Amino acid sequence: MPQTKLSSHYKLNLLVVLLILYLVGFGHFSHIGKGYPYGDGIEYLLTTEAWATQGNPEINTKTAESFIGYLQSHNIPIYKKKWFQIWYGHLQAFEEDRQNGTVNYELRKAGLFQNKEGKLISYHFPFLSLINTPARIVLHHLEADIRFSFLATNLFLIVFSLYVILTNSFFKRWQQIGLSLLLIFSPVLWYIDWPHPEVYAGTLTFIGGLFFISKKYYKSLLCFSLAAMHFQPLFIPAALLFIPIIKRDRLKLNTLVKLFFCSFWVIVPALFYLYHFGKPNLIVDEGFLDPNLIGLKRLSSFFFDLNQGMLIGIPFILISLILLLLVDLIKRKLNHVFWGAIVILLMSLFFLQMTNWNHGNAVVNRYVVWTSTILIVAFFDRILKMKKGLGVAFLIIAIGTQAWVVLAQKDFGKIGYYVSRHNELAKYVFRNYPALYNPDPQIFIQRNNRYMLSSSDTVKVFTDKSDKIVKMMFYKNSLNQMIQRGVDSAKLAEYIPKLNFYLGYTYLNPKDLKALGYNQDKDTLIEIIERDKRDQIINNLMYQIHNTPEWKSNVEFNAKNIGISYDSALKKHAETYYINDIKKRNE
Amino acid sequence: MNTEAPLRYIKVKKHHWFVLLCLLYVTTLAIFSHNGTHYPYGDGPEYLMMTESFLNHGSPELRSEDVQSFTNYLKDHKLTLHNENTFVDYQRKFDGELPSLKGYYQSTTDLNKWFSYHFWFYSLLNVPARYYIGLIEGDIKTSVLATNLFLIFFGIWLISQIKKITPFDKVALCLLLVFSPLLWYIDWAHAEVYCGVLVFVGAVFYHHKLFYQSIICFILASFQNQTISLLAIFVSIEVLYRHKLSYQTLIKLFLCNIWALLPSLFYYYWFEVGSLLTVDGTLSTEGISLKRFWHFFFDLNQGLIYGIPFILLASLIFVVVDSAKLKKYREYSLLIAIPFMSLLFMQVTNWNAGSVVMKRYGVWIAPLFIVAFHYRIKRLKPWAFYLLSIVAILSQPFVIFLQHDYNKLFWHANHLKPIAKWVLDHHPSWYNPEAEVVLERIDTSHPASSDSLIVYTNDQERVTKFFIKKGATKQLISHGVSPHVVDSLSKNLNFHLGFAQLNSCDFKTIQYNQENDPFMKDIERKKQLRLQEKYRNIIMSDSSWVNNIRKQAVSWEMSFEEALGHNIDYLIKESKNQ
Repeated sequence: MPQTKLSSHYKLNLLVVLLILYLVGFGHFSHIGKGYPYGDGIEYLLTTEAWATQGNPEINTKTAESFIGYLQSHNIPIYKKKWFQIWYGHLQAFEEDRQNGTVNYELRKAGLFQNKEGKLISYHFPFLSLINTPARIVLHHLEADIRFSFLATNLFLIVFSLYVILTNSFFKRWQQIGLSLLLIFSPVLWYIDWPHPEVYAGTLTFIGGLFFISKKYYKSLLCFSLAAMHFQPLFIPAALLFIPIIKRDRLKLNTLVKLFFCSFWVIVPALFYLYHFGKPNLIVDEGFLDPNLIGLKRLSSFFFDLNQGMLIGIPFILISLILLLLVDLIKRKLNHVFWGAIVILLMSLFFLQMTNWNHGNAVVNRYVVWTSTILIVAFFDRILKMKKGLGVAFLIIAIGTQAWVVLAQKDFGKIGYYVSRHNELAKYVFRNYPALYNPDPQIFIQRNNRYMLSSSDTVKVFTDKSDKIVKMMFYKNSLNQMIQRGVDSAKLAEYIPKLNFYLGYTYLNPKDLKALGYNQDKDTLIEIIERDKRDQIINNLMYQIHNTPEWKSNVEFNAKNIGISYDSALKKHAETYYINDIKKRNE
Repeated sequence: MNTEAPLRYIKVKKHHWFVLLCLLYVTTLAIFSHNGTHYPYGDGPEYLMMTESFLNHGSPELRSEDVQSFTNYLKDHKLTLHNENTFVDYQRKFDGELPSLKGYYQSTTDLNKWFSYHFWFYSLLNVPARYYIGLIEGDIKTSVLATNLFLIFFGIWLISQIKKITPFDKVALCLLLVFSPLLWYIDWAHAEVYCGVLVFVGAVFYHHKLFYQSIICFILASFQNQTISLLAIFVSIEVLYRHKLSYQTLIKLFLCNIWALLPSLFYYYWFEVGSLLTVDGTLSTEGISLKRFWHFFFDLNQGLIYGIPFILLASLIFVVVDSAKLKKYREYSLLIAIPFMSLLFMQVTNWNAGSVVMKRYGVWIAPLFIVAFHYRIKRLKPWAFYLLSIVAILSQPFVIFLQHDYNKLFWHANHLKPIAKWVLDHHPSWYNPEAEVVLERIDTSHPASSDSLIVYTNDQERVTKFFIKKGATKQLISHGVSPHVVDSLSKNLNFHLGFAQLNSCDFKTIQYNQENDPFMKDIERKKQLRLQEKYRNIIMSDSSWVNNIRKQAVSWEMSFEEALGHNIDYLIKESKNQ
């Protein structure tokens, strides 16, 4: 039953307000934003370029020239310039010799695959790039920064979702406002400046969930189906929606036709790749997925990892939901929260297979964006069933915590390499309760500071602010390093069976170190590792400086000023950088 | 009559209409932005600088930082800076290299401040677009385009929200608004679109007796062209006539009209005069004449007829017929204001100012005819109404897009229109506009021309018209006219604004013969030289031809140059025979 009357006048006023919100938001984010092509951004940007200039998603040298040429002709900074150059080189080589195996391999690594007609197409479905094309064209025609085309599209998707929420007469006005704020302050916002489909999927799953609880099943199905074009696991909620629809509308021709039109989008990507490549999915084919990775460890990492788990995206909502779910289960009430959890667990069977578990992201794992929106809607539905005062209190706390969480954890004015460093929460736990947080090895390897005392390629070490080792991570074949660090070999051999290995790695926490009789003061390997590492890092830095024109000319200028040779100045520069960086290792 | 029939079933919800207009706005902005040249024609630099001034320090006073922020932005973004010299000159003024600023005057009350003689309201209106486009790193020159388009769409919105208008009228009026001459100025950093839209909407309000809204529109438009305030006065008089002299009416009229004083107060505060235009030589009562009035509408180079040909002619026929029948229709009320308004705008000294297709003032005079025409034909039978309405609506896009190419930089005020050229070539006596209108559009460096006697020749180099400056009649003597004739001519010539015109049909009377004109021999000689140069270049660029001539020179026993000359003479003769 509709709870709110909506006049055309209300909708008009709403549109004006949302239009202003959109313009302000776009102006603000494009002004402070960096236009960095995070993640697979380059592919999405170039596919958009291909749509805009050729009317198809085929990427070639002209596409790259058009994009880079525009940026250069407008004095716009080009991030990942080296990437672009390498790409361009590969594209040129490809066009000269399409059968060159090395080039084809390099392009595949970059996400481009040769179809049956010998044209290059990204393994990311080009639908988002297509809907981004109008923004790209308008910005181009205004001579503006086309890197922000995805920002324009993402913001449009959010504002459009707000319109859908605020005109959904199933909800009362205060509920519509509450939902709008929950969407704005959801992990979706972190990806606003990403040339990626997270915002697309996040907004669609959010409004899809709302349509579901307001019993507009076909609209809900359409939303999930469209979202599934970019994240295939979302076909599960779409498929599950068939049940209530058929239950309500029976198996009639009319129902089947509607079901078809609302759901066939799910198979469009598969048909697209089948047509072009003779196989329905390139990602599966390229070995990015491994079913052996499905497990409770990874599932708990998805939800509770302190560096990138859902917990840091929707802390209050997630904890509340778990508690409410437990209570409901005890009371044997199967409501939307339960079904939401089931849907996510089913979807996790797919996304937990991802081999790269520390892929580029903004604050949280990318899959959290469109799973958290489903849980936010489930949470909202659950608190509506509480007594009004209690529900409102939950809602206010949820909105408050979300606003704080979302705004505190990302600076939109800076380029954020979140996957290359531990966040503050993770560091706090490592320093004070290291045994409590043993993340996925990839997360620890890629985020741990390389300057950490005695970290090496096979052994990663975390030290507290006083350089005291509080946690070590070993690859299974490297545990013998502990003997070189002064641990008795017999004791170690006896202790190894007690250790838990995950993907070949194990953690040694203070309790383990104590049991092994490890004494950092007597660890003579530290000095050797540090010395070797120092030389290696300085050599790397020298190489980097020498091969970066701006950096190199700066060194040459200094060498001339001080009156020393270029080589000496280069070494001094590298040493200075090393010293500065090493000072910050425990920050 | 019922004109609702065709569209009566179409009910568009407000919010759907709003979304549609937003989409159309973005699309048209992208199209015009891509195709426009964004050249600051006319007084564009002043309006752009005032926008920059408002953005930088919230006042219209020009400062060095404004020039720098504008030019540096364009340079930083590698965007074209058209008309760079004007901006360089602004900067040079602040660097102490120039004594004055084009289009700006030094305040008499604060000698450190410089203000434009164009009122700043339009520039202020342009600030949000300028700020926003700067924010998204776009081409800030397109800010005026964004503002002008916004004004048009705002006008459409206002018309569509008038409850008394039938759906067909809404569609027709909106299309006529869009495809009116103001569309030519969409990319101009100028107030034409602003005034055109406000006059159009004001006129529609007036026809629906929304008098106060109408007055507000006209008063706002008058900020940029004071002449338009006369329309507000006309409407106010009608309000007084209808509502009598009540206290409430007077207050409302006062509140609606008082804003007209804003520009005057501004200039009085900074310059102690009500308008800079009245004291800087821009206006002169000498310009007021029936000839100028006629040419405002029908000049073959810049008349209003080019902007709304069908509507103007049809309107005039209606006016004449209705006047003959002594019919007093309300539709004509605002047209009565035009002669009065013309008394003001005809005073402008530069009658051939930069424009697109037709005179700039036509942009805000045209809506008065368009709206009057629309409501007049509503009195006809339905079939006649729809027929005339559709013809008018279809004729306008044709007229607008055929006469102006948005992609190209083109100075319409410096080129003869094809019709004008044809008339000047073949029937010059049919077209005797103000001299400057033609002189600024032709090449006055004709060999037979002097500063005070300008010769117009057609494509065959035949003289068809003389423009003679007052006091220079005797120069005709050097063109072969007898002194006796020149003496009598001096007394009989009709000078208008310093120039008289002699057409080919007068040549017999004054016994002018081009063959006996010593200057014309010079023309022939120069023409011959041009032809020789042309054929020399053709031959010399073809190596086989050159080799052939070398062989000819050997066989004819003459130098290469002589042989070349013979070849060129032969080619010229052949071309004449053809």
